[in-house]
Amino acid sequence: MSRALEHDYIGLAENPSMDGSSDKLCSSSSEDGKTLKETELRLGLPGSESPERKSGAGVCLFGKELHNKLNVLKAGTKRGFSDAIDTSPTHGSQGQGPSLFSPRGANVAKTLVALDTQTEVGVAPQSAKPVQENNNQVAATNGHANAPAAKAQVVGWPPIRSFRKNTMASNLTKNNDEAEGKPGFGCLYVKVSMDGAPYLRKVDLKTYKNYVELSSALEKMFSCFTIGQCNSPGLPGKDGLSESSLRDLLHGSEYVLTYEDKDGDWMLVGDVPWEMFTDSCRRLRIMKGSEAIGLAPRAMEKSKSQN
Amino acid sequence: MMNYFPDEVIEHIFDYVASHRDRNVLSLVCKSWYRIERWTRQRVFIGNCYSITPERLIRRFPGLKSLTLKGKPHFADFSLVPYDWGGFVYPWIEALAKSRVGLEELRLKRMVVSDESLELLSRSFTHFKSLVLVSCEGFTTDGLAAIAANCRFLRELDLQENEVEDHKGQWLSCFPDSCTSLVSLNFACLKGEVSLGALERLVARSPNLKSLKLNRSVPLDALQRIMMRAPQLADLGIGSFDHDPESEAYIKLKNTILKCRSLTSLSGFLEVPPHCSLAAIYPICPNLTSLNLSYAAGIQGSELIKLVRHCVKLQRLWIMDCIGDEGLGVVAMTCKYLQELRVFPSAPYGNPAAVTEKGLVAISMGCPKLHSLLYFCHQMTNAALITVAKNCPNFIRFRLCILDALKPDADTMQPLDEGFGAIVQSCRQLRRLSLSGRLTDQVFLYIGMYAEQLEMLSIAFAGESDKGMLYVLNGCKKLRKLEIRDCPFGNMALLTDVGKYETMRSLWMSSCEVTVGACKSLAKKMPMLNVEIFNENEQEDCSLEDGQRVEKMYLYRTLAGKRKDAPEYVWTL
Repeated sequence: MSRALEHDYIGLAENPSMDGSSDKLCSSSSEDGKTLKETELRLGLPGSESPERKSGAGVCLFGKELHNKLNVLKAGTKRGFSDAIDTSPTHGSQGQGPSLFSPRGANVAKTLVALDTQTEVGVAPQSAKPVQENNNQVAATNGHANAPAAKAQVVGWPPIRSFRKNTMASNLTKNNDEAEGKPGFGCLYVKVSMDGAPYLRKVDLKTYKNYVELSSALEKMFSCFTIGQCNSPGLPGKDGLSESSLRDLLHGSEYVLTYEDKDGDWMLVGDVPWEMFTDSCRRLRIMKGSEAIGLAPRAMEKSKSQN
Repeated sequence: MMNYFPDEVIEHIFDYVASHRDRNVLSLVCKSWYRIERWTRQRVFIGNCYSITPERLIRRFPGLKSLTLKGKPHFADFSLVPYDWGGFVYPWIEALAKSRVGLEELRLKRMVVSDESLELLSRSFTHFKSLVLVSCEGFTTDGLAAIAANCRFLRELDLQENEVEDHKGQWLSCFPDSCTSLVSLNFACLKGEVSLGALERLVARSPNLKSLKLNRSVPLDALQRIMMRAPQLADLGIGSFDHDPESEAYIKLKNTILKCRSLTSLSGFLEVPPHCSLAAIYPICPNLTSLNLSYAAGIQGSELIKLVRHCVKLQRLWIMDCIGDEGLGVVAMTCKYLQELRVFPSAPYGNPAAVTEKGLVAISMGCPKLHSLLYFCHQMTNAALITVAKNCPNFIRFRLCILDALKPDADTMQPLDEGFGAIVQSCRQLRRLSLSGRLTDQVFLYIGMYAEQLEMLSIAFAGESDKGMLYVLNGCKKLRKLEIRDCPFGNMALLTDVGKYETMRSLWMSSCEVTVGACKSLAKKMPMLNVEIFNENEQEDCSLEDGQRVEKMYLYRTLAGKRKDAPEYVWTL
């Protein structure tokens, strides 16, 4: 499920590599990506392939040598203190050698979310609430990613107020035909609530391309709230939060994913084409199956048949 | 000599002293002046709501009428501060309500405002007149309904860029018929619909209304009717400008606009038709001193240029980068009185037709009065900055954001140290500076040497060593706010001059090189500081080891001690 993990931008990934090397999931290079040279920044020369010279290709923070070698992040994990310790060889070595930015390489790498066409892509969410910027066109393969019109993204950069960013983003989704060819703000945050959970989350609908990705991200995000149910007898995957047991949980009897549309009505997720859904979705709610009776007769039947 | 004046005379003199800083200075002269000053102080500004407790503030200034509070650190605007960090206004309103303070004005920035707070506010102060909320969150239209319904003498309700949940109530209808005192109403940031009838009736019975900013749900025909009823408006924010150019409503609007000779400030255009023409606005453009089209996403650059040609008196311009370098050239030729310019990106990572250093140079050549700049651009050069510095020595605020955070001089590939160095050397009154682009420690040397009036500095992805930060801390004597992200500044820089932080409001450092141990040591040495570390690691049993690098640190001076409302991930050392 590495692909899904790599898509988990919002956090709470059960990522076993959190304390270990960050190479496992997403390093695009076969070498040890932690050496200083690897994370060294060099400028692209004028006229080079550095993507900032390509028209409309968005902005690249680093020289092109960095692209293939960048020891990017553990996909889907939060930056914890353990991250810092792991890459400590590069810390404290300040101003070494000719590279302009070597001590920063690792650090900035951590904040870098998505890179140019040749890079592996990963994410380091930085905050508990998923209020980060994400490339809505992330590719997540192993080193030969060809993210269409990929942009370099760093959390909180450029420094535009969230309100302004969100407003412009929803403007662009409204005027879709006007916005063709224009790189957009690309974020559409909606609240996600889950019945019984103590707090809500937010997701950026633009980071998903279809319902499967959304549903998989939500499963991970809210998995911690379903621990109790997972361990109850009668459900498969008793080792806690395995993917399959979660899926059964969400797709099975317990929960139904619904959304509030522009008119204020609560609808079942999945009926309309994805683009139409993102255009009209204002918030999401993971509803207990029992409450969703009027809403989702299909889901109830399905759950009955599975039980 | 002043000792022989009766208190009433001194009070009378103090009435003429309005600025917070001047009053602060007065209060330090002697005990008697301290006493007189505190009893007569009506307006108080608290730059960090955690620097003092509300109770203490009320004790000192019982005559308080106007309170300004700021909550979250500035980088919260860019999603760097986690959810629920703090900045709750409720304890303040509660404390004020319990006291005998006759609060009339409350201005909040980056605070969490609940509906309960708004309701309590609306019920507790009979003469409450003015509520200004900037970049706040946590409330819904229900809270606004309470303000509308209960504040009988409300003059100002100004909502700027807040995240407001729309509950589809009719909050605008909650203004009673007896409410005729409105001077300023701004609900442009609201996403939902408002009752147009209630809005029109409200405008009709508010003869003093000078400033009205509508949200996108207010259609053109309603706008026309509103403008007819309020020809005295000086400041207008247009909601929807969506129209059929042939329609009667649009023709009516054009005629109505001709009558609005008092309009000097225009904003909004939150919804526009495709290929929108702004010709209807041209007649009032020559009167405009302020124009904010930074949210007018649908307006093409060519149309913006046509509009700007008419705006000869403009002093403040907020615009999107689709105006282009060429458009900025037109601004430079037309707007000779321009003082403040903000150019926002129309797309976050670059619109190739957007602005570069050329636009900025053109502006500097045409607009010598320019003192405030916020400029998002694709590229910059040292030569351009040096030219700008020479042409515009009056900068007070200079904020440059090169979208590619590490980009060097686009021509020479050198760092931009010299360019920013020229700015600080030439602009001796500079109070606020934001840096971007490729920068070494050298730029900080310049800043430390020349930026004597600098109060706020924002740094990202810059510098090479601790020396950079030290140059700033040592050199900028008036520094109040320093915010740093993703720079190689570490413990040595943090700890060399700990006393400095007591002269400042706050310091933010994220993704730098400081460790937990250094922060602990700092906190220990400086009990008057709150040193907060954010531990957003999911593993809650992760303990703080001294050698660990700190992801986010926010420290601020305070008289209030450790705050009690911090969420779990905030560790105050």
